[in-house]
Amino acid sequence: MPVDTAVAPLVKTVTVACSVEPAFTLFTSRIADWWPLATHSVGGTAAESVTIEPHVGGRIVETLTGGSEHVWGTITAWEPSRRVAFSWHPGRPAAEATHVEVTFVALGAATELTLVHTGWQSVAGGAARRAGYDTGWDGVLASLVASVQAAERA
Amino acid sequence: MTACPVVCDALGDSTRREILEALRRKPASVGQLASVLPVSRPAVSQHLKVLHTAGLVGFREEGTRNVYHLRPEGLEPLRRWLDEFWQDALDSFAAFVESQD
Repeated sequence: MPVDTAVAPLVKTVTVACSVEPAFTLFTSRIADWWPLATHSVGGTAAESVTIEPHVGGRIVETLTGGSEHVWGTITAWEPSRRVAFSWHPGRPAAEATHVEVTFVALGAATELTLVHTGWQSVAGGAARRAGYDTGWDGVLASLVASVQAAERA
Repeated sequence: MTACPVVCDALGDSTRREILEALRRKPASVGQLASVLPVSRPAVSQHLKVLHTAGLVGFREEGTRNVYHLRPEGLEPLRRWLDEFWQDALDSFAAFVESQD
């Protein structure tokens, strides 16, 4: 597969059966009720909950049995009913973060939610790029591995 | 969640990631890699074998030596895996919204 596709943003959409306001609220403030924590967490079976602190600069935090925490990322945009964006580095240092943006668009009585995961190019070693051998791999290793391994640790 | 692909295991080692970083800058032979990394030639060979099996590197024969290069397409399984990761999360969210009615 071509390089540009390998590092292109990951885009996912889903339509949910409610209007944008509850969709945004359920997605953010009720994340503990729907996030598949058993399989999608750093702590795995020890993961107890996940919380989104509802403001720019707020953290997305996984809480483990016993009270310790894993920070998955930090909110970078907070526009209720419209958009939430956050850095994403579960199980990895913040310096290796990629970026996730989720937008909410009314679709009749439903809401279309679009998730865009980017940042593959910006992480780890952009400075090491060499003319004539730019494979598009800058940051791909660190960021893809960060995302995948963090979840895999479950 | 499905198991992390072979490529993920291959990347789960800091020396192998260093090798890939070095190859990202420039294709190189085992000897060249061993000279810039704090590991022996046999160790480099062993790591390259793992990376090759995972599809992350390829090589060309140049005289008596093999010159290794990255295979960006080798990342595709990881990307697919990540795609499924978010698909599962969003499906779970959609199901939760349904259950709220």
